[in-house]
Amino acid sequence: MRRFLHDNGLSLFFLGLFLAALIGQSLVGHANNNEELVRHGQSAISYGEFVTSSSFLVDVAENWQSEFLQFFLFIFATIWLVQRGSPESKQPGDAGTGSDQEQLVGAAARPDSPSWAQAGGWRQAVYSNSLLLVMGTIFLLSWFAQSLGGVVVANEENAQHGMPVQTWLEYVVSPEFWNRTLQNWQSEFLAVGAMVAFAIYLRQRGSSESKPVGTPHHATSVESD
Amino acid sequence: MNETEQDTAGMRVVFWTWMVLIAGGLAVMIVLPLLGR
Repeated sequence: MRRFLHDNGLSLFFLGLFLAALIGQSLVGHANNNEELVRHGQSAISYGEFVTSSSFLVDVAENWQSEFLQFFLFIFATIWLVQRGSPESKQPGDAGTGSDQEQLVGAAARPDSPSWAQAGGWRQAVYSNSLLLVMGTIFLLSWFAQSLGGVVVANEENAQHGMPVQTWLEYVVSPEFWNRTLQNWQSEFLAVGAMVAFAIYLRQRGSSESKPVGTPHHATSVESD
Repeated sequence: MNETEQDTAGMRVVFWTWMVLIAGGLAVMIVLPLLGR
């Protein structure tokens, strides 16, 4: 067990943080939601009702979609674009999907390479893009989930104000939906762009996200190894 | 189980924990609004 915790500490650390933050969000979200209900002369709802309500789920989904979009775009962009000096980037001149020899696929695969990397055809094509495919699928599904939860919440508010019911199609072109979406996207793009640029000149000793402290500023990821 | 098998098992546990967590979360976030919750 100690070995398991040691070898997988990074993902387990973030798993713990994620669960703690989600539970925290649900607890304070429940309290906040009930304050709003009481303020509007309605009765409070239970914790179980709140965490299964669209008003909680839409808040979770809108943050999920933006995080997975961020990683989807970052993975995609780092195939074709470089940033000289950043450890988040390949070296200038290395843009593109790389040769089979560099990628250890097909005839160039090693005996211990994943079986779909050793295979040819569609299996190699799918596996070669599997990280992008999964991140993109999670982004699309969580964005779809945001739209479903959002239209339920919007229609609850519409009903309270005597407004007509909105269809899903009306909701996904509404300012409300795009306001929720873009306010998350802008912060993700800001953080990724800043990380790529800051890591050219700034260092964190010991972090895999940084070049070694004494690496020259012009050195990009592979050069710094 | 030798060390390599232990390493592989640990990585599989971590990978599938995240996958199941996200798939379950997405299912909940899609199905409950469709049920009108």
